[in-house]
Amino acid sequence: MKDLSKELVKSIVELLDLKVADEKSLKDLFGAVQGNYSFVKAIEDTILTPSDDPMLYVRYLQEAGDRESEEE
Amino acid sequence: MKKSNLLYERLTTLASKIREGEVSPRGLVNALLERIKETEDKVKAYVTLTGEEARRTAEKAEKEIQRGQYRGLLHGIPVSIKDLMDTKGVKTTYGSRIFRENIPNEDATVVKKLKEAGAIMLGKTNTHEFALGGITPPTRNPWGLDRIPGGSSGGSAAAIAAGSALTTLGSDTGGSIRIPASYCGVVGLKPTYGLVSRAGVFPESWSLDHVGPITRYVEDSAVMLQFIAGYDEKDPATRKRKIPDYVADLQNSVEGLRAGVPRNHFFEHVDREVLSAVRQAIKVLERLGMSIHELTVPAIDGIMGAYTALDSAEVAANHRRIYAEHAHEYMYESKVYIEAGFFISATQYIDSLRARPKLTAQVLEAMKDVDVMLTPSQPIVAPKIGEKEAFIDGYKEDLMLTMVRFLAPFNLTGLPALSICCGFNSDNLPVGLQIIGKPFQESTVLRVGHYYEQATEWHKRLAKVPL
Repeated sequence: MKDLSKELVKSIVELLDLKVADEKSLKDLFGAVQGNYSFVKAIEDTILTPSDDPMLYVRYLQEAGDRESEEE
Repeated sequence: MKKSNLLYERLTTLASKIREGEVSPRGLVNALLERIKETEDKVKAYVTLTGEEARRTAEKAEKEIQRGQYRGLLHGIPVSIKDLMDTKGVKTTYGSRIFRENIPNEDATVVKKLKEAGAIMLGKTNTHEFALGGITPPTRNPWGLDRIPGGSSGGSAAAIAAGSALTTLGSDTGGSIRIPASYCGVVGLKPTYGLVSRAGVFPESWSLDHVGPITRYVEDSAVMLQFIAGYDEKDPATRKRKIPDYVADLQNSVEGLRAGVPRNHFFEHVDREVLSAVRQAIKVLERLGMSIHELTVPAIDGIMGAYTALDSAEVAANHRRIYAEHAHEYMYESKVYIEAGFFISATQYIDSLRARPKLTAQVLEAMKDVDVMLTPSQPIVAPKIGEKEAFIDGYKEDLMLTMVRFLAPFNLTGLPALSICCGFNSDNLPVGLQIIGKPFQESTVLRVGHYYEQATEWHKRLAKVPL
Protein backbone atom coordinates (compact mmCIF):
# COMPACT_ATOMS: atom_id res chain seq x y z
CA MET A 1 0.00 0.00 0.00
CA LYS A 2 2.02 2.93 -1.29
CA ASP A 3 -0.45 5.62 -0.31
CA LEU A 4 -0.82 4.72 3.34
CA SER A 5 -1.38 7.98 5.15
CA LYS A 6 -2.46 9.08 8.57
CA GLU A 7 -5.71 10.37 7.02
CA LEU A 8 -6.43 6.98 5.46
CA VAL A 9 -5.78 5.25 8.79
CA LYS A 10 -8.08 7.74 10.47
CA SER A 11 -10.86 7.09 7.96
CA ILE A 12 -10.52 3.30 8.36
CA VAL A 13 -10.65 3.73 12.14
CA GLU A 14 -13.97 5.52 11.70
CA LEU A 15 -15.22 3.03 9.13
CA LEU A 16 -14.47 0.03 11.38
CA ASP A 17 -15.60 1.82 14.50
CA LEU A 18 -12.27 1.16 16.21
CA LYS A 19 -11.64 2.48 19.68
CA VAL A 20 -8.67 4.78 19.30
CA ALA A 21 -9.89 8.17 20.31
CA ASP A 22 -7.15 10.71 20.67
CA GLU A 23 -4.24 12.03 18.64
CA LYS A 24 -1.64 10.00 20.54
CA SER A 25 -3.51 6.74 19.93
CA LEU A 26 -3.91 7.57 16.26
CA LYS A 27 -0.23 8.40 15.97
CA ASP A 28 0.77 5.14 17.66
CA LEU A 29 -1.68 3.15 15.55
CA PHE A 30 -0.35 4.77 12.38
CA GLY A 31 3.17 3.86 13.51
CA ALA A 32 2.14 0.25 14.19
CA VAL A 33 0.35 -0.07 10.83
CA GLN A 34 3.33 1.42 9.02
CA GLY A 35 5.63 -0.94 10.93
CA ASN A 36 3.54 -3.95 9.91
CA TYR A 37 3.45 -2.84 6.28
CA SER A 38 7.22 -2.43 6.17
CA PHE A 39 7.41 -6.19 6.80
CA VAL A 40 4.30 -7.41 5.02
CA LYS A 41 5.26 -5.92 1.65
CA ALA A 42 8.08 -8.50 1.44
CA ILE A 43 5.47 -11.23 0.84
CA GLU A 44 5.20 -9.90 -2.71
CA ASP A 45 8.72 -11.23 -3.34
CA THR A 46 7.51 -14.82 -2.96
CA ILE A 47 6.46 -16.05 -6.38
CA LEU A 48 3.03 -17.64 -6.03
CA THR A 49 1.04 -19.64 -8.58
CA PRO A 50 -2.61 -20.79 -8.51
CA SER A 51 -1.46 -24.18 -7.21
CA ASP A 52 -0.07 -22.60 -4.05
CA ASP A 53 -2.88 -23.70 -1.77
CA PRO A 54 -2.60 -22.37 1.78
CA MET A 55 -3.77 -25.73 3.15
CA LEU A 56 -0.57 -27.40 1.92
CA TYR A 57 1.38 -26.22 4.95
CA VAL A 58 0.46 -28.83 7.56
CA ARG A 59 0.74 -31.70 5.08
CA TYR A 60 4.10 -30.38 3.98
CA LEU A 61 5.41 -30.24 7.55
CA GLN A 62 4.18 -33.78 8.23
CA GLU A 63 5.85 -35.16 5.12
CA ALA A 64 9.13 -33.40 5.87
CA GLY A 65 9.01 -34.90 9.38
CA ASP A 66 8.35 -38.37 7.99
CA ARG A 67 11.34 -38.13 5.66
CA GLU A 68 13.62 -37.13 8.53
CA SER A 69 12.35 -39.97 10.71
CA GLU A 70 12.96 -42.52 7.95
CA GLU A 71 16.50 -41.22 7.46
CA GLU A 72 17.20 -41.66 11.16
CA MET B 1 19.10 -33.54 51.55
CA LYS B 2 17.61 -30.21 52.59
CA LYS B 3 14.12 -29.45 51.34
CA SER B 4 15.32 -26.36 49.47
CA ASN B 5 17.92 -28.37 47.51
CA LEU B 6 15.16 -30.60 46.22
CA LEU B 7 13.79 -27.65 44.30
CA TYR B 8 16.86 -27.65 42.04
CA GLU B 9 16.91 -31.39 41.32
CA ARG B 10 16.21 -32.95 37.93
CA LEU B 11 12.72 -34.35 37.46
CA THR B 12 14.11 -37.85 36.83
CA THR B 13 16.02 -37.71 40.14
CA LEU B 14 12.95 -36.50 42.01
CA ALA B 15 10.79 -39.12 40.31
CA SER B 16 13.15 -41.85 41.41
CA LYS B 17 13.18 -40.56 45.00
CA ILE B 18 9.39 -40.30 45.01
CA ARG B 19 9.02 -43.82 43.72
CA GLU B 20 11.40 -45.13 46.36
CA GLY B 21 9.60 -43.18 49.09
CA GLU B 22 12.67 -41.03 49.88
CA VAL B 23 10.84 -37.85 48.91
CA SER B 24 7.15 -37.25 49.43
CA PRO B 25 5.03 -35.25 46.98
CA ARG B 26 3.55 -33.41 49.98
CA GLY B 27 7.05 -32.46 51.10
CA LEU B 28 7.79 -31.15 47.62
CA VAL B 29 4.58 -29.13 47.51
CA ASN B 30 5.30 -27.65 50.94
CA ALA B 31 8.90 -26.82 50.03
CA LEU B 32 7.71 -25.03 46.89
CA LEU B 33 5.02 -23.11 48.76
CA GLU B 34 7.67 -22.02 51.27
CA ARG B 35 9.94 -20.89 48.45
CA ILE B 36 7.06 -19.03 46.83
CA LYS B 37 6.44 -17.26 50.13
CA GLU B 38 10.11 -16.16 50.19
CA THR B 39 10.27 -14.93 46.62
CA GLU B 40 6.83 -13.99 45.42
CA ASP B 41 6.61 -10.43 46.73
CA LYS B 42 9.68 -9.62 44.64
CA VAL B 43 9.31 -11.86 41.59
CA LYS B 44 5.51 -12.00 41.21
CA ALA B 45 5.63 -15.09 39.03
CA TYR B 46 2.22 -16.39 40.04
CA VAL B 47 -1.25 -14.99 39.52
CA THR B 48 -3.06 -17.84 41.33
CA LEU B 49 -1.80 -20.44 43.81
CA THR B 50 -3.62 -23.71 44.38
CA GLY B 51 -1.71 -24.77 47.50
CA GLU B 52 -4.50 -26.54 49.36
CA GLU B 53 -5.65 -28.49 46.33
CA ALA B 54 -2.00 -29.31 45.59
CA ARG B 55 -1.55 -30.73 49.11
CA ARG B 56 -4.64 -32.88 48.70
CA THR B 57 -3.52 -34.16 45.28
CA ALA B 58 -0.04 -34.82 46.68
CA GLU B 59 -1.50 -36.92 49.48
CA LYS B 60 -3.53 -38.88 46.95
CA ALA B 61 -0.43 -39.40 44.79
CA GLU B 62 1.53 -40.65 47.79
CA LYS B 63 -1.13 -43.23 48.58
CA GLU B 64 -1.29 -44.39 44.96
CA ILE B 65 2.46 -44.80 44.80
CA GLN B 66 2.53 -46.64 48.13
CA ARG B 67 -0.10 -49.01 46.71
CA GLY B 68 2.18 -49.68 43.74
CA GLN B 69 0.09 -47.64 41.31
CA TYR B 70 3.03 -45.57 40.07
CA ARG B 71 2.10 -43.76 36.85
CA GLY B 72 5.49 -42.56 35.64
CA LEU B 73 8.04 -39.77 35.86
CA LEU B 74 5.56 -36.97 36.60
CA HIS B 75 3.62 -38.80 39.29
CA GLY B 76 3.74 -36.65 42.42
CA ILE B 77 5.67 -33.81 40.69
CA PRO B 78 4.26 -30.28 41.15
CA VAL B 79 3.81 -28.31 37.92
CA SER B 80 3.00 -24.65 37.32
CA ILE B 81 0.80 -23.65 34.40
CA LYS B 82 0.80 -20.48 32.31
CA ASP B 83 -2.42 -18.59 32.97
CA LEU B 84 -3.27 -18.65 29.27
CA MET B 85 -4.28 -22.30 29.69
CA ASP B 86 -7.68 -23.40 30.96
CA THR B 87 -7.68 -25.17 34.31
CA LYS B 88 -10.90 -26.80 35.44
CA GLY B 89 -12.35 -25.09 38.51
CA VAL B 90 -9.34 -22.77 38.86
CA LYS B 91 -9.37 -19.11 37.90
CA THR B 92 -7.87 -18.54 34.46
CA THR B 93 -7.45 -14.89 33.53
CA TYR B 94 -5.43 -15.06 30.28
CA GLY B 95 -3.56 -12.12 31.83
CA SER B 96 -6.59 -9.90 31.28
CA ARG B 97 -8.80 -7.89 33.62
CA ILE B 98 -11.73 -8.92 31.43
CA PHE B 99 -11.37 -12.55 32.53
CA ARG B 100 -10.49 -11.83 36.17
CA GLU B 101 -13.37 -14.04 37.39
CA ASN B 102 -13.19 -16.69 34.65
CA ILE B 103 -13.33 -20.27 35.94
CA PRO B 104 -13.19 -22.84 33.12
CA ASN B 105 -15.22 -26.03 33.18
CA GLU B 106 -12.53 -28.05 31.46
CA ASP B 107 -8.78 -28.40 31.49
CA ALA B 108 -6.72 -27.54 28.44
CA THR B 109 -5.60 -30.81 26.84
CA VAL B 110 -2.00 -30.34 27.99
CA VAL B 111 -3.14 -29.73 31.58
CA LYS B 112 -5.36 -32.80 31.41
CA LYS B 113 -2.45 -34.88 30.14
CA LEU B 114 -0.19 -33.70 32.96
CA LYS B 115 -2.86 -34.50 35.55
CA GLU B 116 -3.40 -37.94 34.04
CA ALA B 117 0.35 -38.49 34.36
CA GLY B 118 -0.01 -37.80 38.09
CA ALA B 119 1.41 -34.28 38.12
CA ILE B 120 0.17 -31.87 40.80
CA MET B 121 -0.92 -28.39 39.76
CA LEU B 122 0.70 -25.86 42.07
CA GLY B 123 -0.60 -22.65 40.51
CA LYS B 124 -1.00 -20.41 37.50
CA THR B 125 1.91 -18.29 36.30
CA ASN B 126 1.67 -14.76 34.98
CA THR B 127 1.34 -14.12 31.27
CA HIS B 128 1.45 -10.91 29.29
CA GLU B 129 -2.15 -9.84 28.60
CA PHE B 130 -3.60 -12.41 26.15
CA ALA B 131 0.06 -13.26 25.33
CA LEU B 132 0.19 -10.08 23.22
CA GLY B 133 3.60 -8.90 24.38
CA GLY B 134 6.99 -9.80 25.79
CA ILE B 135 7.01 -7.87 29.07
CA THR B 136 4.71 -9.87 31.43
CA PRO B 137 3.87 -7.25 34.02
CA PRO B 138 4.04 -7.42 37.00
CA THR B 139 6.57 -10.29 36.96
CA ARG B 140 10.22 -9.38 37.49
CA ASN B 141 13.37 -11.13 36.42
CA PRO B 142 15.01 -13.07 39.27
CA TRP B 143 18.46 -12.22 37.84
CA GLY B 144 17.76 -8.51 38.17
CA LEU B 145 14.55 -7.32 39.76
CA ASP B 146 14.68 -4.10 37.75
CA ARG B 147 14.52 -6.17 34.56
CA ILE B 148 11.65 -7.81 32.68
CA PRO B 149 11.46 -11.61 32.60
CA GLY B 150 10.43 -11.52 28.93
CA GLY B 151 7.17 -12.93 27.75
CA SER B 152 4.59 -13.75 27.21
CA SER B 153 5.35 -16.83 29.38
CA GLY B 154 7.33 -14.63 31.78
CA GLY B 155 5.78 -16.01 34.97
CA SER B 156 6.75 -19.58 34.10
CA ALA B 157 10.37 -18.74 33.30
CA ALA B 158 10.75 -16.43 36.31
CA ALA B 159 9.33 -19.12 38.62
CA ILE B 160 11.89 -21.66 37.39
CA ALA B 161 14.74 -19.14 37.77
CA ALA B 162 13.58 -18.19 41.28
CA GLY B 163 13.27 -21.83 42.36
CA SER B 164 9.56 -21.35 42.96
CA ALA B 165 8.54 -23.92 40.34
CA LEU B 166 9.99 -27.31 39.41
CA THR B 167 8.58 -27.41 35.91
CA THR B 168 6.15 -25.30 33.91
CA LEU B 169 4.22 -24.92 30.70
CA GLY B 170 4.37 -21.95 28.34
CA SER B 171 3.09 -21.02 24.91
CA ASP B 172 4.91 -19.47 21.98
CA THR B 173 3.52 -17.56 18.98
CA GLY B 174 6.54 -15.41 18.10
CA GLY B 175 8.95 -16.45 20.85
CA SER B 176 6.88 -16.41 24.03
CA ILE B 177 8.57 -19.52 25.46
CA ARG B 178 12.09 -18.76 24.21
CA ILE B 179 12.23 -15.03 25.04
CA PRO B 180 11.65 -15.53 28.79
CA ALA B 181 13.74 -18.70 28.79
CA SER B 182 16.63 -16.66 27.39
CA TYR B 183 16.19 -13.67 29.72
CA CYS B 184 15.73 -15.85 32.83
CA GLY B 185 18.53 -18.32 32.01
CA VAL B 186 16.33 -21.41 31.84
CA VAL B 187 15.28 -23.95 29.20
CA GLY B 188 12.35 -23.34 26.86
CA LEU B 189 11.18 -25.65 24.08
CA LYS B 190 8.85 -24.66 21.26
CA PRO B 191 8.00 -28.00 19.65
CA THR B 192 7.11 -28.56 15.99
CA TYR B 193 3.74 -27.11 14.96
CA GLY B 194 1.25 -29.94 15.37
CA LEU B 195 3.15 -31.99 17.97
CA VAL B 196 1.47 -30.57 21.10
CA SER B 197 -2.21 -29.69 21.41
CA ARG B 198 -3.28 -26.05 21.90
CA ALA B 199 -6.89 -26.98 22.76
CA GLY B 200 -8.00 -24.98 25.79
CA VAL B 201 -5.19 -22.45 25.44
CA PHE B 202 -6.45 -18.94 24.66
CA PRO B 203 -5.32 -18.38 21.06
CA GLU B 204 -3.15 -15.53 19.91
CA SER B 205 -2.77 -16.69 16.33
CA TRP B 206 -4.08 -20.14 15.36
CA SER B 207 -1.53 -20.72 12.64
CA LEU B 208 1.48 -19.71 14.77
CA ASP B 209 0.62 -20.80 18.33
CA HIS B 210 2.64 -23.57 19.98
CA VAL B 211 2.64 -25.02 23.51
CA GLY B 212 5.77 -26.32 25.22
CA PRO B 213 7.69 -26.69 28.48
CA ILE B 214 9.84 -24.18 30.35
CA THR B 215 12.16 -25.99 32.75
CA ARG B 216 15.48 -25.83 34.62
CA TYR B 217 17.18 -28.64 32.71
CA VAL B 218 16.95 -29.85 29.11
CA GLU B 219 16.20 -33.32 30.41
CA ASP B 220 13.19 -31.90 32.26
CA SER B 221 11.86 -30.49 28.99
CA ALA B 222 12.24 -33.96 27.44
CA VAL B 223 10.23 -35.43 30.34
CA MET B 224 7.49 -32.83 29.95
CA LEU B 225 7.32 -33.26 26.17
CA GLN B 226 6.97 -37.01 26.63
CA PHE B 227 3.69 -36.48 28.44
CA ILE B 228 2.18 -33.58 26.49
CA ALA B 229 3.02 -34.56 22.89
CA GLY B 230 0.55 -36.34 20.67
CA TYR B 231 -2.60 -36.18 18.61
CA ASP B 232 -5.66 -34.44 20.03
CA GLU B 233 -8.96 -34.44 18.19
CA LYS B 234 -9.71 -31.05 19.77
CA ASP B 235 -6.74 -29.43 18.00
CA PRO B 236 -6.97 -29.78 14.21
CA ALA B 237 -3.28 -28.94 13.82
CA THR B 238 -2.07 -31.99 15.76
CA ARG B 239 -0.78 -34.91 13.73
CA LYS B 240 -1.01 -38.64 14.31
CA ARG B 241 2.61 -39.60 14.78
CA LYS B 242 4.56 -42.10 16.83
CA ILE B 243 5.99 -40.27 19.84
CA PRO B 244 9.65 -41.14 20.40
CA ASP B 245 11.19 -41.77 23.82
CA TYR B 246 12.59 -38.26 24.23
CA VAL B 247 14.26 -39.01 27.58
CA ALA B 248 16.00 -42.18 26.40
CA ASP B 249 17.08 -40.44 23.17
CA LEU B 250 19.11 -37.93 25.22
CA GLN B 251 21.70 -40.65 25.75
CA ASN B 252 22.55 -40.90 22.04
CA SER B 253 25.81 -39.15 21.23
CA VAL B 254 26.03 -35.81 19.44
CA GLU B 255 29.30 -36.84 17.84
CA GLY B 256 29.03 -36.53 14.10
CA LEU B 257 25.97 -34.31 14.18
CA ARG B 258 26.14 -31.32 11.85
CA ALA B 259 25.23 -27.83 13.01
CA GLY B 260 24.51 -24.94 10.70
CA VAL B 261 25.40 -21.41 11.76
CA PRO B 262 23.63 -18.74 9.70
CA ARG B 263 25.90 -16.11 8.21
CA ASN B 264 22.93 -13.74 7.73
CA HIS B 265 20.22 -12.16 9.90
CA PHE B 266 20.73 -14.18 13.10
CA PHE B 267 24.11 -12.72 13.92
CA GLU B 268 23.32 -9.14 12.88
CA HIS B 269 22.74 -6.40 15.45
CA VAL B 270 23.63 -8.60 18.38
CA ASP B 271 25.07 -7.29 21.65
CA ARG B 272 28.83 -8.02 21.83
CA GLU B 273 28.69 -10.00 25.06
CA VAL B 274 25.76 -12.06 23.77
CA LEU B 275 27.63 -12.73 20.53
CA SER B 276 30.74 -13.79 22.41
CA ALA B 277 28.80 -16.22 24.64
CA VAL B 278 27.02 -17.77 21.65
CA ARG B 279 30.28 -18.15 19.69
CA GLN B 280 31.83 -19.85 22.73
CA ALA B 281 28.85 -22.19 22.95
CA ILE B 282 29.30 -23.18 19.32
CA LYS B 283 32.94 -24.01 20.07
CA VAL B 284 31.84 -26.20 22.98
CA LEU B 285 29.55 -28.16 20.67
CA GLU B 286 32.39 -28.49 18.18
CA ARG B 287 34.60 -29.90 20.93
CA LEU B 288 31.84 -32.41 21.68
CA GLY B 289 32.23 -33.79 18.17
CA MET B 290 29.71 -31.80 16.16
CA SER B 291 30.80 -30.28 12.88
CA ILE B 292 29.97 -26.63 12.25
CA HIS B 293 28.90 -25.37 8.83
CA GLU B 294 28.02 -21.87 7.71
CA LEU B 295 24.76 -21.47 5.85
CA THR B 296 22.41 -18.76 4.67
CA VAL B 297 18.78 -18.72 5.75
CA PRO B 298 16.87 -17.53 2.69
CA ALA B 299 13.88 -15.22 2.37
CA ILE B 300 14.06 -13.81 5.90
CA ASP B 301 12.19 -10.69 4.77
CA GLY B 302 9.39 -12.80 3.33
CA ILE B 303 9.29 -14.92 6.47
CA MET B 304 9.00 -11.91 8.75
CA GLY B 305 6.41 -10.39 6.39
CA ALA B 306 4.23 -13.48 6.36
CA TYR B 307 4.62 -13.87 10.12
CA THR B 308 3.54 -10.26 10.68
CA ALA B 309 0.50 -10.55 8.42
CA LEU B 310 -0.68 -13.83 9.93
CA ASP B 311 -0.12 -12.80 13.53
CA SER B 312 -1.62 -9.31 13.21
CA ALA B 313 -4.71 -10.35 11.27
CA GLU B 314 -5.44 -13.41 13.43
CA VAL B 315 -5.04 -11.39 16.64
CA ALA B 316 -7.51 -8.81 15.32
CA ALA B 317 -9.99 -11.46 14.19
CA ASN B 318 -9.73 -13.36 17.46
CA HIS B 319 -10.24 -10.30 19.65
CA ARG B 320 -12.80 -8.50 17.50
CA ARG B 321 -15.85 -9.38 19.57
CA ILE B 322 -14.29 -9.11 23.02
CA TYR B 323 -12.55 -5.90 22.03
CA ALA B 324 -15.76 -4.30 20.78
CA GLU B 325 -17.24 -4.58 24.27
CA HIS B 326 -14.21 -4.34 26.52
CA ALA B 327 -11.69 -2.11 24.76
CA HIS B 328 -11.35 0.04 27.86
CA GLU B 329 -10.12 -2.97 29.85
CA TYR B 330 -7.20 -3.77 27.52
CA MET B 331 -3.67 -2.49 28.08
CA TYR B 332 -2.91 0.43 25.79
CA GLU B 333 -0.22 -1.49 23.87
CA SER B 334 -2.63 -4.39 23.29
CA LYS B 335 -5.21 -1.99 21.85
CA VAL B 336 -2.73 -0.65 19.31
CA TYR B 337 -1.57 -4.21 18.51
CA ILE B 338 -5.13 -5.41 17.90
CA GLU B 339 -6.25 -2.37 15.92
CA ALA B 340 -3.20 -2.50 13.65
CA GLY B 341 -4.30 -6.04 12.73
CA PHE B 342 -7.48 -4.69 11.13
CA PHE B 343 -5.31 -3.03 8.49
CA ILE B 344 -3.90 -6.27 7.10
CA SER B 345 -5.74 -6.90 3.85
CA ALA B 346 -7.40 -10.22 3.03
CA THR B 347 -5.08 -10.75 0.08
CA GLN B 348 -1.98 -10.07 2.22
CA TYR B 349 -3.23 -12.59 4.74
CA ILE B 350 -4.05 -15.27 2.18
CA ASP B 351 -0.81 -14.75 0.28
CA SER B 352 1.06 -15.17 3.58
CA LEU B 353 -0.65 -18.53 4.08
CA ARG B 354 0.17 -19.49 0.51
CA ALA B 355 3.78 -18.36 0.82
CA ARG B 356 4.28 -20.28 4.04
CA PRO B 357 4.98 -23.75 2.55
CA LYS B 358 7.40 -22.22 0.05
CA LEU B 359 9.26 -20.27 2.70
CA THR B 360 9.41 -23.37 4.91
CA ALA B 361 10.73 -25.41 1.99
CA GLN B 362 13.44 -22.82 1.40
CA VAL B 363 14.55 -22.94 5.04
CA LEU B 364 14.58 -26.75 5.01
CA GLU B 365 16.58 -26.71 1.78
CA ALA B 366 19.12 -24.44 3.49
CA MET B 367 19.24 -26.96 6.36
CA LYS B 368 19.44 -30.08 4.17
CA ASP B 369 23.09 -30.82 5.00
CA VAL B 370 22.82 -30.14 8.73
CA ASP B 371 20.91 -31.65 11.65
CA VAL B 372 20.38 -28.46 13.64
CA MET B 373 20.92 -24.74 13.32
CA LEU B 374 22.44 -22.57 16.06
CA THR B 375 21.64 -18.90 16.70
CA PRO B 376 21.43 -16.52 19.64
CA SER B 377 17.98 -16.75 21.26
CA GLN B 378 17.94 -13.00 21.79
CA PRO B 379 20.16 -10.21 20.47
CA ILE B 380 20.34 -8.76 23.99
CA VAL B 381 20.06 -9.68 27.68
CA ALA B 382 16.91 -8.89 29.68
CA PRO B 383 16.00 -5.21 29.24
CA LYS B 384 15.17 -2.93 32.14
CA ILE B 385 11.50 -2.48 33.03
CA GLY B 386 10.03 0.42 31.06
CA GLU B 387 12.43 0.22 28.11
CA LYS B 388 10.64 0.34 24.78
CA GLU B 389 13.63 0.28 22.48
CA ALA B 390 16.84 -1.72 22.30
CA PHE B 391 20.19 -0.03 21.67
CA ILE B 392 22.78 -2.41 20.28
CA ASP B 393 26.13 -0.82 19.53
CA GLY B 394 24.52 2.33 18.16
CA TYR B 395 21.69 0.47 16.42
CA LYS B 396 18.23 1.41 17.72
CA GLU B 397 15.24 -0.88 17.35
CA ASP B 398 11.70 -1.32 18.68
CA LEU B 399 12.03 -3.76 21.61
CA MET B 400 9.22 -6.01 20.42
CA LEU B 401 11.00 -6.52 17.11
CA THR B 402 14.27 -7.17 18.94
CA MET B 403 12.57 -9.90 20.93
CA VAL B 404 10.95 -11.74 18.01
CA ARG B 405 13.33 -11.36 15.09
CA PHE B 406 15.43 -14.52 15.77
CA LEU B 407 12.47 -16.58 16.98
CA ALA B 408 9.36 -15.82 14.92
CA PRO B 409 10.84 -17.39 11.75
CA PHE B 410 10.42 -20.78 13.47
CA ASN B 411 6.81 -20.07 14.37
CA LEU B 412 6.08 -19.42 10.72
CA THR B 413 8.04 -22.46 9.53
CA GLY B 414 6.87 -24.56 12.49
CA LEU B 415 10.33 -25.98 13.18
CA PRO B 416 11.23 -27.11 16.72
CA ALA B 417 13.42 -24.64 18.60
CA LEU B 418 15.01 -24.81 22.03
CA SER B 419 16.51 -21.98 24.08
CA ILE B 420 19.13 -22.85 26.69
CA CYS B 421 21.42 -20.73 28.82
CA CYS B 422 24.91 -20.40 27.32
CA GLY B 423 26.51 -17.85 29.59
CA PHE B 424 26.15 -14.60 31.49
CA ASN B 425 27.16 -11.06 30.65
CA SER B 426 29.27 -8.83 32.89
CA ASP B 427 26.12 -7.82 34.85
CA ASN B 428 25.40 -11.49 35.62
CA LEU B 429 22.44 -11.56 33.23
CA PRO B 430 21.79 -14.79 31.26
CA VAL B 431 22.40 -15.25 27.54
CA GLY B 432 20.40 -17.74 25.45
CA LEU B 433 21.44 -20.10 22.67
CA GLN B 434 18.75 -21.22 20.22
CA ILE B 435 18.95 -24.73 18.74
CA ILE B 436 16.60 -25.27 15.79
CA GLY B 437 15.77 -28.66 14.31
CA LYS B 438 13.88 -30.20 11.42
CA PRO B 439 10.15 -31.00 11.67
CA PHE B 440 9.37 -33.41 14.54
CA GLN B 441 13.08 -33.89 15.31
CA GLU B 442 12.74 -32.71 18.93
CA SER B 443 14.93 -35.64 20.03
CA THR B 444 17.91 -34.23 18.13
CA VAL B 445 17.33 -30.66 19.36
CA LEU B 446 17.01 -31.82 22.97
CA ARG B 447 20.06 -34.06 22.67
CA VAL B 448 22.26 -31.19 21.48
CA GLY B 449 20.98 -29.00 24.32
CA HIS B 450 21.48 -31.77 26.87
CA TYR B 451 25.06 -32.48 25.81
CA TYR B 452 25.88 -28.78 25.90
CA GLU B 453 24.37 -28.50 29.36
CA GLN B 454 26.38 -31.50 30.60
CA ALA B 455 29.59 -30.00 29.24
CA THR B 456 29.10 -26.60 30.90
CA GLU B 457 28.27 -25.18 34.31
CA TRP B 458 25.85 -22.35 33.46
CA HIS B 459 22.77 -24.26 34.59
CA LYS B 460 24.31 -24.59 38.06
CA ARG B 461 24.34 -20.83 38.62
CA LEU B 462 21.30 -19.83 40.68
CA ALA B 463 19.52 -16.49 40.84
CA LYS B 464 19.84 -15.06 44.33
CA VAL B 465 16.30 -14.15 45.30
CA PRO B 466 15.45 -12.58 47.69
CA LEU B 467 18.32 -10.11 47.29
